[in-house]
Amino acid sequence: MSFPHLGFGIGLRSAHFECVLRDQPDVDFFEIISENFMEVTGRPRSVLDRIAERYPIVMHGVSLSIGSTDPMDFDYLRSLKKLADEIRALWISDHLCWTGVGGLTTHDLLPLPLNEETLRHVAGRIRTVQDFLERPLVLENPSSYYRFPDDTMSECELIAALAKETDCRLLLDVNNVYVSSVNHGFDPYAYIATIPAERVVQFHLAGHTNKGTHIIDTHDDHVIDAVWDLYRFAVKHTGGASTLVEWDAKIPPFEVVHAEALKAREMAA
Amino acid sequence: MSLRETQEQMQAAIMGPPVADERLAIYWRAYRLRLVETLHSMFPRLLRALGEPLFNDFALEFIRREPPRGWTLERLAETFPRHLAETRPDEEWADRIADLARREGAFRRGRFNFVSDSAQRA
Repeated sequence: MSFPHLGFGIGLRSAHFECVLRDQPDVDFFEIISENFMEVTGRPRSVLDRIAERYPIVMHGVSLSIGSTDPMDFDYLRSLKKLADEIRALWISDHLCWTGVGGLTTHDLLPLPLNEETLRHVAGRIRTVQDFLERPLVLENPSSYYRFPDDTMSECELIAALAKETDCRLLLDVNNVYVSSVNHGFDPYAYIATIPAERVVQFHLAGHTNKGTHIIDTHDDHVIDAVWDLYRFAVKHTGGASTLVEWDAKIPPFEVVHAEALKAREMAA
Repeated sequence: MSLRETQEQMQAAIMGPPVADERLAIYWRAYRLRLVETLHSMFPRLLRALGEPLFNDFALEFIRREPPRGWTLERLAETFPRHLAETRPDEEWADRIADLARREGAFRRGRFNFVSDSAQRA
C-alpha cells in the first residue's frame, strides 16, 4: 500500500457532476464522501465510475465511528471495502471521533475524551479496521467544540500516540486544527509540530464560520488567510502531501472550488 | 467516568431536551439541523405541501421519538413516512399528507438513493 503525493484535489459533490463529466477539468484527484456512494446504484454510481476511470479517487468517511464503545459495525466495513475495491480508491480516511452509542447514531462527529482509556480503545479499533480492510486507515483530526473536564493529554498527543501504536496514516485537516485551536485556546503551530510528519499522507483545507465566541466548521466559504499560513507551516513540517479542498454547503460553481485547489498548489510551492 | 458512560451521557444530552452548556448546545443543534435538512432534501413536495414550520415540527417530533440507527441516512425515506402514518390524527388531510410522504419516500428510495452533500459535513 503506497500513499503517493497526488497533488491538489477537490471533494467531489453532486452539484458538480455535470461539469466534471462534460469539461473533464484538469484536477489532480477527487475525494468522495464514502457513505454517499456505499450501497448506491443508479446514476450517482455510474457517474462515479466514469470519474474514477479518469481521475485518482480517495475515500473519506463520516460513519466509521472509530471511537465508539459499541461493537464494530462489520456490515459497514464490508460495504466500505467493497466500494474501495470497485473504484480502486487509493486510501480510506475517517475521523478521530464517535458518532453514536447503544445502536443509535447522531450522524455527527463527536469529540472523545483525551486520555489513556481512549488511546487504548481507539488503538485497538484501528487495528481491527486495518485487519479487515487490509490497508492502513487514514485518520483525520476533527473540528471540535467541546472538551471533557478530565482530559489528561492534548489531541495532537493522542494522535501522535495512535500513530505510534498502530500503522495508521494521518489526514491533517489544517482548517480543523485552526477551528479547534480557537475553540479550545491552544497554539495551532505547536499542535502541527507535534504531529508525526512521516505519517501525514493528506491535508484538508476548507472555509468556516466565525461566530465570535467560537468557530463552526461549515465548509461553506473560502479558506481564510490564517489557515493558509498554517498550511504553509504544515507543508514545511511534513515535506508536503496530497491536498484537498472541501466545500460542502453554499457550493459555488466548480471553477471557484478549483481555483482554491490551484491556490493551494501555489501556497505549497 | 468510563468512556462508555461518557458517551452514553453525551449522546443522551444531545438527543434530549435543550442543554444549558453552550458548547454542548452546538452539537445539540447540529444533530437536529442535519436530520431536518436531510428530510427537506428527501421530501421536497411534502415540504412544499406542509410549509417549513409545520414540516419541521413533524420532523423534530419524529427525531425525538425515533433517533436514527445505523450509518445510512437513506432509511429516513422509509421511517419518516411510517412515523407520519402511525401518528396521524383521524382526519382526511392527515391521510393525504401521510400518503404523499409514503409515495415521495418510495420514489426517492427507488430512484435517487443519494443523500445531499450538505447533510453530512466532514
